[in-house]
Amino acid sequence: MNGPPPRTYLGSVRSWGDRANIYRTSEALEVDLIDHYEVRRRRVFFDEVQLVTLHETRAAGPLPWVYYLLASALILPALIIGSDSPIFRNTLLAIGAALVLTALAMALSPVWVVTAFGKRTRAQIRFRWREAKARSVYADVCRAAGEAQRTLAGRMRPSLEEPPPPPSELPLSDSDALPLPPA
Amino acid sequence: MPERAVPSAYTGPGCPWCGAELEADRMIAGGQICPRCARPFLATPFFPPEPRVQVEALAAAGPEGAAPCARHAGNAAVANCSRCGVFMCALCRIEIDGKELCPSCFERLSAEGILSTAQNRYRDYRGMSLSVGVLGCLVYFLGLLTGPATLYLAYLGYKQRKQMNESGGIVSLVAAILLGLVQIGFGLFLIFAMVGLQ
Repeated sequence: MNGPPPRTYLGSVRSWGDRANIYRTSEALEVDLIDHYEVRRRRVFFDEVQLVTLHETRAAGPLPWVYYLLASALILPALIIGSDSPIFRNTLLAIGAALVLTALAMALSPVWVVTAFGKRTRAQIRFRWREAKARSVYADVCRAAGEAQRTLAGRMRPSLEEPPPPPSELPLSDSDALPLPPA
Repeated sequence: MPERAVPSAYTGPGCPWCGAELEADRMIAGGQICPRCARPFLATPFFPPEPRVQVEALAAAGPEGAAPCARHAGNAAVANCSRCGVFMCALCRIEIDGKELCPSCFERLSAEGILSTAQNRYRDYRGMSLSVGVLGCLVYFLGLLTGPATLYLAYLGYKQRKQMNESGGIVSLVAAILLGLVQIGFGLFLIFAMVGLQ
């Protein structure tokens, strides 16, 4: 039995409740929705794609808020410690500050989103900072969808009857034409 | 496990910003403006052909024609099921994983989890191994329990990755294995320390 087609990881989309990893195979985009360690897979087949879009947004997502919370968990104890243990306090403050800066950078960073709409579902891939990668994936999905749909259309086209072959010699005039057989 | 709320039904191509329905068949490839939220985006529409299955009637096959389909007596069979050998027409034939199956065999094999392409639910062993690895570091005194658990889940994740013919995603598995080894090492260190104290 043939195994599954090879699949390549493209990107992921995270929300507060779950996250989705998107993979590319030779015939579809596979969306693996991960919810409490259970994965549900959906496929957007290239020969069913109706629309592919690309846009830029600044939606931060949940990760910056997670970093803010972690930073708070480090900075607050550091402030409570005060000058009792300056090295430990400064270490916590430094890590907390780094987390806050990372969260700010993520919140302000541009996110490029590629969305493929199929007949029954859609696949969305987000790329933070990576415009070139997003455009490359957009072009790749458009090309794959075009090829798959052309292949499917070609397979479905009814086969035409072959026309009769042309005569090997054509008469130049009526006088050159061969005489008709006797009745 | 209780069923979760069903998400809203998919209604077709829409604005990637606000979700407003778009008439993709009237769009021209290039820059677009959503008619509802007025935000710009780039789009390429496609017009997928409607798949049609050509079914030959048994009567049209002639006196020396094909055998009848096991489910549709009026249709000519075009293939045999790879598993049970029953004759099947173009409507019944299911091509999957390099095999041609009848609907009954397809249901049975997909329920048993044998058809990898038909699988659409499975465990995220990679995520589980990372979570156990991180949490195990917090309860480091149970390292001899959580460490082997982390390694086992990482092994299951690696096996799953190979079964799915996946490229990438090895970094998280390596991280989980390292965390598992650290936990086991710390657990052994605690035991030797306690034995040494005695």
